[in-house]
Amino acid sequence: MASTLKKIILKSCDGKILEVEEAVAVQSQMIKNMIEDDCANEEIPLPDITGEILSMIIEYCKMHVDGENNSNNELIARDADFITRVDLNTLYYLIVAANFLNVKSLLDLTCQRVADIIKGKSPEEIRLTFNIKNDFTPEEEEEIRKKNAWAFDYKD
Amino acid sequence: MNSCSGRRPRIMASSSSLPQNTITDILSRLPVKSLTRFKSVSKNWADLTSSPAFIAAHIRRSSPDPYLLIRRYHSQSGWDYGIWLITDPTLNFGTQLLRTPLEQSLPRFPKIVGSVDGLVCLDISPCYASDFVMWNPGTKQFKRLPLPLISSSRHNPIWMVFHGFGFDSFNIDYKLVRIVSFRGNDASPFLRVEVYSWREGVWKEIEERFELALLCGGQDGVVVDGSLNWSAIGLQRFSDRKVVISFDMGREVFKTVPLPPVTRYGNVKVVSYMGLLAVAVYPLVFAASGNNMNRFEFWVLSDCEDGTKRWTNLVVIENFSKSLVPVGTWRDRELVFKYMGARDRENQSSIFLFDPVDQRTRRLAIDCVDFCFEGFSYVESLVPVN
Repeated sequence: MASTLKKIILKSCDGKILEVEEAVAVQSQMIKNMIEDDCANEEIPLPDITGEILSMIIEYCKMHVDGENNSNNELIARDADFITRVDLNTLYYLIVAANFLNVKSLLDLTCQRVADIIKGKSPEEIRLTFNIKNDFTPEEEEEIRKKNAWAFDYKD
Repeated sequence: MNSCSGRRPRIMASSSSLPQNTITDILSRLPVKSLTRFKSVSKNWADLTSSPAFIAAHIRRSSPDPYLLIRRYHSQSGWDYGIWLITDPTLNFGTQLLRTPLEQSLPRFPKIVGSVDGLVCLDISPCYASDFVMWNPGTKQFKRLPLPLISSSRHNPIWMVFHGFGFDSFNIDYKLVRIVSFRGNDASPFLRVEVYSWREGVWKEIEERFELALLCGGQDGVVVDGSLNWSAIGLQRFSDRKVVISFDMGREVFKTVPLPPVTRYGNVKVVSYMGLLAVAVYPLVFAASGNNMNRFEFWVLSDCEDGTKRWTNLVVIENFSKSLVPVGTWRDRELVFKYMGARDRENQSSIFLFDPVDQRTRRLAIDCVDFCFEGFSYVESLVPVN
C-alpha cells in the first residue's frame, strides 16, 4: 500500500530536499493548488523557507494528517505542545512560511501564540519585540497614555 | 520545556517585515485592555486599532465565545445589586463585578436594555425609560444619550414604554428603539416610536407603526438577525393568539409574526436561536405537584424549502415539579434557565444551560438567591460609544 502513495518533493532555500506524502503536502493550500494544476511533478523550490523551518512545518502537517481521527481535545493538546517549543524568532519564520505555503491552521496557531506572548507586555517591550520605531512626540505619548491609564494596570 | 525559556530570544528579529495583515491578525486576538495599552506603541498601531475594519475583525474573532453579563439584585427594594461579568459561565471562571457608569448619582439601579458587540445600553431613568447611557465596559467609555423626543405630559400621559437595542448591519449602525404607548381617551392605547442612531447621535421619530397587537409589559426587544422582537397579544385578525412584533432595524419597519397556537395558554419568552426567531413557552403558574400541568415547549421559526417560514417544535418537557423559567440564550444555541423549587424555600434556585439539540443540561456555578436575575451575551470590543 505505502509504496503506491504519491510523494511531493520540496526544496528549501538552503538546498535541503524533503520528500513528503501527498496527503501531508496538501495541508498547504498552495501545494494543493499546484498539484491540481499538475505543476507538482518535479521538485518545488521554496525560496524563503529554510530546511529547519520546512521540517517543522512538515512535522506539524503530518501531526494533523495522522491525528485526523483523534479527538479535538487531543489535537489541541498536540498543537499546544508543538507551539510552546518554538521561540519568538522561530515563530516569525514559521508565520512567514505558513503565509507563503497557505497552511491556515498553522497560521492560526502561530498568530494566536504570538498574541498570547505579547498580551501582557508594555508598549516599550512591544516596540522592541516587533522592531517598531516610536513616532510619537513625548507630549503625544504622554497624552495618549494618560487617556488610557487604566490599561497600564498590569495586575490582571 | 520551561527550563530553557530563559535562553529564548525575546525579540522577533526581522518582524518589522511581517505583512500588515499578519499584524492585524495577531492584534485581533488580543483583549481590549492590551489593545488599549498598545495604542501608545506607534501612530500606525493607534490608527490600525481604531479603524472600523479592525474593530469589526476583532469582534468576529471573539463572538463565538461570548462572556455572560449578569444583572442581579437580592431584594425587592433593589439593594445589594450589581452587574457582573462571567468570562466562562460553564467553569464560573473570572467572575468580576463591573463599575457601572455614573454609579453614585443614579436614582436607581440601571436596567440593561441590550448588549451588542461590546456596547451595553443602560436605562438609568426612574420611570418611562427616558434616560439612557451607552456603555462599553471593555474600554470603560460611556456616553449619556440625549433625552428622547417623546415625553409624558399631563394631558397626554405615557402608559408604557418598550425598548430594544441592536445592530443594523445594513447601515452599520447601533440603534436604540423606544416604543411609547399613551393612554388615549378611547380604550386602545396610542403608540409612537422613536429610534436613536449611534452613527447620527440623535433621536428620530418614525412614522412606521405596528397594528393589530398589544405589547406585553416587562420585556425588552430581543435581537434576532437584524431585527428586534417583542411578544404581544394579537388583535382583530390575529385576535385570540399571541404574536411577535418584529422591527427590521435596517428598513425601520414593523411586521407581525403569528406564534404557534400552543403559546395561547402559556408565558412566552422570545429568544434568538442559531440566528432564528424562537420562543420558549412555559406555564403561567407552576403546579407544585408534578402532574401534567407543567409543560415547557421550545419552538423555532425555520426556513422551508419553498422559501416560506414555519414554526417547528424542537423540545417538549413535561411533568417537572419545579418552576423552570427561561431567561434567554447564550452563544445563540443554549437556553439559559432559572430553575427553582416550587414550594420549599430551602431549595435554592439555580441557573443552568440547556442545549435543545442533545438536551444536555449544565448547571452554572452561580449562586442564585436573587430576587432578579437577567443574563446577556457579551463580547469585549473596541466599538466607541459615539
